[in-house]
Amino acid sequence: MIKALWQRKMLSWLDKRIPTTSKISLEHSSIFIFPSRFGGTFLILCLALFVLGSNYQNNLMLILCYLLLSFFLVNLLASYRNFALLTFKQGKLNPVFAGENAELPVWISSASHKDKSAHGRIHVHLWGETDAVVFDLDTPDNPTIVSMPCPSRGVMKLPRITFNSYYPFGLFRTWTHLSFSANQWVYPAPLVAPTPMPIESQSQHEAIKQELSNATGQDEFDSLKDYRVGEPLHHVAWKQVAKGRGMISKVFSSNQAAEIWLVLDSVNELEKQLSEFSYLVQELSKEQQYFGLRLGQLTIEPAVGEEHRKSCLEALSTYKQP
Amino acid sequence: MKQARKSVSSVNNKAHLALSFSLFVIGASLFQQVQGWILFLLTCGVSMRVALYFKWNRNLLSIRTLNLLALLCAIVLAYVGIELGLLLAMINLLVMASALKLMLLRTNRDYFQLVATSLFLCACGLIFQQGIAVSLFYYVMAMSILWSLAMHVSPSLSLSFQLKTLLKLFTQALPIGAMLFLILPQIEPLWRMPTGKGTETGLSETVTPGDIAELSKSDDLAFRATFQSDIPQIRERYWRAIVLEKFDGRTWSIHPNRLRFRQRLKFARQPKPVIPVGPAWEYEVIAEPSNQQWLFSLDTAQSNSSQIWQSHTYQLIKNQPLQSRFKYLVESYPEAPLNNALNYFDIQLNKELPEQFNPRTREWVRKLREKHPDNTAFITAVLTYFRDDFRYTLKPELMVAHPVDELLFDHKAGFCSHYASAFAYIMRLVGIPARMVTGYHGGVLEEAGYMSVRQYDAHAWTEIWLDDQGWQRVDPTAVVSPERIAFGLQQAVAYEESFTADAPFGLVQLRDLAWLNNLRQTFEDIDYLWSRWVLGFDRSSQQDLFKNLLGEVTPQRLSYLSLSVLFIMGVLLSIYNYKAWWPQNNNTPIKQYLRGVSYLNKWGITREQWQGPNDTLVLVNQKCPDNVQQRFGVLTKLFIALEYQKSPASKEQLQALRLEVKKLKALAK
Repeated sequence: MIKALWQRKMLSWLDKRIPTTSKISLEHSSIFIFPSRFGGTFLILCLALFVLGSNYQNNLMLILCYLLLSFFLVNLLASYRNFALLTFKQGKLNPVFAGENAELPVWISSASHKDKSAHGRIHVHLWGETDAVVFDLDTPDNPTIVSMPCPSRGVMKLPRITFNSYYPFGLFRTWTHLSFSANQWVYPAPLVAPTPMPIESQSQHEAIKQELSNATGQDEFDSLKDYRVGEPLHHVAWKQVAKGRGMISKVFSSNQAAEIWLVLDSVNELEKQLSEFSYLVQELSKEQQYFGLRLGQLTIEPAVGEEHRKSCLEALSTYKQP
Repeated sequence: MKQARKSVSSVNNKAHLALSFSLFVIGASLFQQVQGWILFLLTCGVSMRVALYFKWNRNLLSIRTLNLLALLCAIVLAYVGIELGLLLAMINLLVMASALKLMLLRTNRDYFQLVATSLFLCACGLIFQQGIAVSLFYYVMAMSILWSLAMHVSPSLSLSFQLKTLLKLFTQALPIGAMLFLILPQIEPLWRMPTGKGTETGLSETVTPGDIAELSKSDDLAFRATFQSDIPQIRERYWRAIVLEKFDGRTWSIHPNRLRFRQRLKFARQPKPVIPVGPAWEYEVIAEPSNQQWLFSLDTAQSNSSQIWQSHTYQLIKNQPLQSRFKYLVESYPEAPLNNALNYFDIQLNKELPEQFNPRTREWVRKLREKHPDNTAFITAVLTYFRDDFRYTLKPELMVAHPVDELLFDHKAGFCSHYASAFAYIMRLVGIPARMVTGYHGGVLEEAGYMSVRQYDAHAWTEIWLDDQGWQRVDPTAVVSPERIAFGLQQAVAYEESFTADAPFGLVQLRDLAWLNNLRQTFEDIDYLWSRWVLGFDRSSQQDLFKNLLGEVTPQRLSYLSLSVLFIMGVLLSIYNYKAWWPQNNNTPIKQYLRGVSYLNKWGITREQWQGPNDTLVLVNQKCPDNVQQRFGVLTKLFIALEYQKSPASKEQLQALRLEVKKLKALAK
């Protein structure tokens, strides 16, 4: 209980101190530094040397003690200086299904001018956890993928991510807890279900018929339009792109005989249905089927394509979110 | 820091290899203190790590085997340790534990523990030896341990880079460490530390003149003295060390009653005060480690050090045996009489006569005493006898059965302790309290201003009690061989050619080679400075330093001093780090390009992290007017050329890029 309270306090304090961003260069307020466990051992060693040196009246031992102590002090600034050179940028997040791990790519880079580049290894882990991914600044392999579990559907706010460095001598731990601004879409976990029978409602039937009359054949080339993110790449009119007119995609008319409606009923369990719909949306999109979605008040008209799939899944994710 | 629990492998792990080697070298350097089997254990541990490093072997010993081994070793050490004494047992235990840990080494935590232990062992090495070379050696070892630490923390950096970092940080730490050493208070020992049993060197606590066929002619340094006042004449340089009051006819030793009495006085904390009379010699002595408690001083000496006991025999005695060089300040009052003793006790002790031995001497003394009933006349007669017939030699005959008889009537040749012994015995025979004092006589004044006294300057003389004057020094050797007292041992036995003959490569022998002699002298001078200013820096030196800095030591001024030291440290640290706070260089291709991209905000374009320059250009081509497209196209092309060319961008190229960015900025307005 106390731990949870402490964590909440800590998080709100962190939110004020290091606000959420998509890119952050470390600075005074966002860096924490404290002797590491080994640093503590080192200080105890210095104390032991002091006592031993005083008791034996041995100046050489005292000098060694003071040298190690001032080495410790100099290290404090050296590790801070190294860590302060770092810049963290978040990458693009891909939606995942509940139960999967979300993967956030983080680009770690250091200002690099002459001798002012950062070195050492960065241990990356989620706030409050311990399993770290190691990123080596001297053999950089960007981006670092931070994976985090997504147990339930919805829009998930990313947890804070902790970046630790022990450079140069492991005496100090310098760290920061960063919060990235991207939101993680978590779709309901898919659950295998039979495809519902196509429904041919009157009003929509007309529209389809009209569309059909426009068509001269199945999957015939129809017209050009601006490319929208999410459309399949093989629809892009590459010839047009090559001419420098930007991304333009071809529109095909499809011979769509019937449409499928995914309608939420009140009989079955909500989460189970959402999961089934999640599976069906995937399947139907793969088959290039026309389908619509009705979740209580919310209706998404039948359509096909990547954009449609995305909006359906997002609607499923956020519907009556707990 | 849960990180510490992670396991690490030794395969190709330079940090493990470097630490093993450092530990091995430190262990080997302690070969005199550490038992052979423990060093063997350490060697096993090191070779195991080497084998793992080169992948000759991949199997680690199981933890169970190691625990069993540790148990066995602990039992053996506990058995042997009782004889070793606490200090040596502890060091053996430390080396043994680190050898076993080296075999165990699996996790980060093991590694860090080993690092701490090895650093501690480095410091332990400094207990036993404090020469410049040895100290440097241990400091270098400490640095190599830190180097291995750097390898452990960031394994992918090159060794030379890490060494550079280490040296840089160490150079930064050096002035701060030196300041801490000078300013932080030198505290008194907190508790009595266990001491190791070293072999005693230098003067012996028992003297049996007849047993020694040859005097040790070692040219090892005994101590050095630096005079703040006038330097005493060579014939005045009697360095008192041990007073021997028990004579059994052959051997002189410290009287057990005296020891018991001293213990009691010490317990009651009643040191012998010296009443200052006349002028004083002020000097500082740096004694070499002898593993004995006796210190050296001119009569009549007084020292304020809390570690020195001022005894009733006018000796200075250290509280603990001299295991390392020891510096102390002394004031000597040559004119002060030695009559402040516990007269009755002293007289009783020094009148004791052995029952047997030396019958001829007894007879001779009886006859002589009849001729000279007056004490002064008698003493003069004895000394005259010595002066006329006797010879000083370093190679006397053995005199075992009746040493005094044989010296006086058969051989008539001997060295200082023969004469001192014989003279004291004769005095006791006629009822004059007499005792033997051993110490050193003479010393060579070096050019650097200090006096060095060596083992071959060892000397013995006699003290007799005269009721009106107290203890009086009588040196029969001075009568036999005036050269010994006036010029030192070398002149006294110049005809014998035996001087330091037992050290064929001894430096003193090579006095003829001028350059070698100079070199030797330089080394000795450096060594002297080292012992005086580094090893000998103590509370009083610190007080002097404060006095010089502050004029007068008051709490207020001391607090100013500590504040200013903190300030200097702050200044030093900011000098080291100013670069990090200096504004960064903005004139790089990437910075210029990103500045250009930021102007595209006007047309609703923001660059995402994953977008390459060409992606951004495509976006621009989709969304921006033609002139912007054109400008940005040129900018992108130039940036790609500059960023991906092999050499860094030249000034002209950067200028051109900046011009493009400016043009774009103009468009965005």
